[in-house]
Amino acid sequence: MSPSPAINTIFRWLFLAVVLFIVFSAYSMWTNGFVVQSSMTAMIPEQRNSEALKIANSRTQAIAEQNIVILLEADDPKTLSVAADTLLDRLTSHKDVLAVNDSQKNIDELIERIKPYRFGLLSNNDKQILLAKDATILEENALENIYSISSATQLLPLHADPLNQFGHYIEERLARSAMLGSGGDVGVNQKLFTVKLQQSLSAPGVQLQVNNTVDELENELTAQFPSVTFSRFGVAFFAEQAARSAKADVNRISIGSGIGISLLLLVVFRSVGPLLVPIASILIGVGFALSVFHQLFNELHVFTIVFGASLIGIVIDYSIHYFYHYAHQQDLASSHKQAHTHEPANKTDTKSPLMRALLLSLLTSVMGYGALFLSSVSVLKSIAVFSVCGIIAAWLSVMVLAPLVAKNAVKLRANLVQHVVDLLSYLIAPLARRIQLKSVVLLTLAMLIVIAGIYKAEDDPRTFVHLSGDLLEQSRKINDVSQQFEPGRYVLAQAESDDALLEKLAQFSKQLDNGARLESVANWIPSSVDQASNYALQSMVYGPAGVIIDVLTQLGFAPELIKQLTTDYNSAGNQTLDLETFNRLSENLIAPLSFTANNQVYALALIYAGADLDRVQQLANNTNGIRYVYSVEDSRVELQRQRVSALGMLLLAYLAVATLLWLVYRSFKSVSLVLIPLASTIITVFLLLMSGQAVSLFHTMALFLVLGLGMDYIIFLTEMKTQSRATLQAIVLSAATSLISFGFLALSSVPAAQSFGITVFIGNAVNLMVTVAVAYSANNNEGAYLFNGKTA
Amino acid sequence: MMAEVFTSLRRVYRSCCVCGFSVTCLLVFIVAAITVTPVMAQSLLPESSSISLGDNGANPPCRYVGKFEQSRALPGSNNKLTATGEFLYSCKRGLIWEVREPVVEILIYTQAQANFRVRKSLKVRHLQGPADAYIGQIMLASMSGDTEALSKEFELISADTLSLVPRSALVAKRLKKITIDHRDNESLINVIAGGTGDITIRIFDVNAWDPSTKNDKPSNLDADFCQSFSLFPKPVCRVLLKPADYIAPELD
Repeated sequence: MSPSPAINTIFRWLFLAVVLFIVFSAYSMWTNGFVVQSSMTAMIPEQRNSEALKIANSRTQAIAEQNIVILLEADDPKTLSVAADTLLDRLTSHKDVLAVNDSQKNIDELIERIKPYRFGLLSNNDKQILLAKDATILEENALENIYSISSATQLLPLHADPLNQFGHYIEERLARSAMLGSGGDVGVNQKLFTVKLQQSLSAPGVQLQVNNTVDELENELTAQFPSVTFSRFGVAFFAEQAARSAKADVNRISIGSGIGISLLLLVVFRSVGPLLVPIASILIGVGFALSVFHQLFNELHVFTIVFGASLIGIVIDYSIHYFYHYAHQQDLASSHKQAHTHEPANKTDTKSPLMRALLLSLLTSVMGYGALFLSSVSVLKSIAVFSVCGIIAAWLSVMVLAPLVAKNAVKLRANLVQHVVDLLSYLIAPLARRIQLKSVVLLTLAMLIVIAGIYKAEDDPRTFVHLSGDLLEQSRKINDVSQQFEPGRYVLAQAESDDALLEKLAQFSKQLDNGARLESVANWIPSSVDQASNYALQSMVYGPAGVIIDVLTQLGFAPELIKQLTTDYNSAGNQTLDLETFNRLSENLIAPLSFTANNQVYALALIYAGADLDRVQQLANNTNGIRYVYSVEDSRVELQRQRVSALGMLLLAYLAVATLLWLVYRSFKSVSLVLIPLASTIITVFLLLMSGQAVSLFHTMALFLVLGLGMDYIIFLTEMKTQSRATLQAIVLSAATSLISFGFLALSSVPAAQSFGITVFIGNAVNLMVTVAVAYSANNNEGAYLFNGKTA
Repeated sequence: MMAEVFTSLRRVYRSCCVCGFSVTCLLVFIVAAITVTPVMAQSLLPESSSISLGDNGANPPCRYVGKFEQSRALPGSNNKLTATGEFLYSCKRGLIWEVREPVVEILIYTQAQANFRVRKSLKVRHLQGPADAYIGQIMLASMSGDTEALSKEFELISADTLSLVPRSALVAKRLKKITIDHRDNESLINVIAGGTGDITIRIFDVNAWDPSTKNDKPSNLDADFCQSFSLFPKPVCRVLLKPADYIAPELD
């Protein structure tokens, strides 16, 4: 039953290396920590986008991620006001985590930074006045402003901006943009706070820290002001909520599977000994997978852990088959002994059918999970790596540890399992008796026709995660009272120069008319040509013969202030506020909405909520250099493409498996056993569709695992044909463990995990049924598709 | 009534906060200051008047006129710039703040929440900036005296004179403090504005307009009232009475 000594030694060394690697990584994780990611973008496929689109997507994502909004509501405005002050006060004590996006402070800061460029920046109205070139009007306007009481608080002092042109310019920008922050009273009974995260949401621990801080603020505030309602909105909250429910899932799946499988094994093996190996193999498998992730990426997505928890049902199979056949062989040996045979019972080598079956089983599982790596959805890729690592390490553990445990007699309740097999056989017998090629083909065709008729797909990435209803309700409330951008939608403009880009954006906005309001860099700065033109127009005011000099002198302004003003004007002659400079100057105040890539200049234009999106899309499609981006739709298309290509790959996988079976067994009958997982796949899809589910990429990828598990059963049926009774019992037992694990996964709160779990659950249940049917036919010589040889 | 005023103030405050503009604080203060007695805000108008925004204009007194003089100290100079003018308030229509000498600047804040500037050229400009909206609402609301509204923006310190210190750091950067001194028949307001020059405003000769001499229907009283007040009644009164005709669709 054990491998040859040489192979055994290799296995032991490898096992030791794995254990040492785990110990080393565990220490490293203990000292350096390990990041469990919960970003929901892991469910979105990586798209084959251009560099510019990738940058644009990451910018918009950062804008969405790095802000949260808090809304306070109360019937009594006075209570609301005090509660708001308390919140602001409390927020300052968490300034390393959160900072209120103080629009007034931001505006003041921006004014300071861009005021040297003010002579090239004009509001539309002031530009029209200058274009009229009427010195009298300019003089009157200056006097009016200087005498007006409202100029007391104008943005720049009178002697720096006597016509308050810069004030008008900033005011005009602010009417178009909410990028500098919003907040304050949004009704008699509501107060809104836009809060910036002080660290990247993706940085380790930040998400939890933000949530804990806001939870703390909410608890304090609602305890102090019971009549105040606290609502929140932000990616950080949804991600944390997803993480929390995923963690609960992991607990549920691992504890549920663990208890269920342990009880099952205890009942069957009647001792704890055989239970220790599967437990050890699970721990080593999961430990190795975690260690690999820690060493390679130092992080793991929480959804990967959810999926990974279902591995319990897979890795346990190796122990089950090992002990089952070991015990069976012991029984045979003891029978042999009684028949005066002195040949040792466990004299086997690597060519022994069980070893070959276990090895092939490992390969099929690795291939099944490995197929997930073909997807571009990062969470599926990491599930592939996690599972393959876990399975290999678990298999190795079984190979090394099981012989040690098996030295003691392994007793099992074979009769009990046989009763289950008999029951299944009894239930399936009527079907098995009719299991003819013609009927299988006809049934398959019939189901395929039905599937084609009712096939329904779901590729919307939003359906893969569950969002808390309470958080969604709070978000809706906040969206109703604040200026938010259309989520996941924006316009990307491209040009060869800053000016061409700004012109393009301006034209586009103009063409949209009232169809949509956009947030772009064009809201903030005019083109360099316009700035130069504005500066030239200002010479009438600030130039050598400028009207303002006379006005200020006549009114008695200090000569040095007048001189400073003219100096400022003259020195601004060579200064133009280009995109790069503006991005630099507005850093941390306005999100950078322009960038360069591949010698082209790009600008993002975010779309304010309430826009006529069809119009924006239509216009963008008809405008050269403008692209309408809807990331959800792009992801949907990509997921659809992957789902379709995954189906194609699944067909190829079946062909490959059939070819492999032919090469190994050179028997048509053996090849025909591929019908087991194929039938399971078709029946699973049929049942899913009949139950009203739409097929997604996660269902499709799970079908690879259905193939892998089905292949396991084929392999054991074929390889262990001399022990078909024991093999079938082991298959039933291992299928039961898989069904427990994937059954719990099917109860996950993460829809993607749910889809995966339910597919494997149904698929594997059908795998088991069809396997039992085939075995029944073989044993009773009633079927046409028997593996070579038959036993009683 | 107070609740309605408060509602208006909140709306305006919101628009201010959205764009963070604080220019208006001065005017807020100016009108508010007049309405303030130590810690409590009073109406700018004579004590006998009982202003109610719920008043539809039919129940006098609901219309007032008064005079003001404003002077500004120029930074870096000993010179002062002084301007004079008059204001009109109709609780149904709104406020006209008319600077007449040495320059002409007419600001019209209507109860319809639309604000305008009329230049000497008689060109009317719809003021769409959030700061203007804020000023307008606060000025109108202040006519009824609203301590709560004021104390939202300012810390009210009562001593011999009432002092208002802006709560916002951004406002405080430009507007250090405002003091109000009520005298016999006038109010004196000092605006410590720093960079743009301190301003002193004197408000005097505030009188209720008596419509008893008129035989007009109540709906015509405001028209008569305005006609008899403004230097440029044709555009100014029309704007006050029919602001919708002058509302521009959007900012360019």
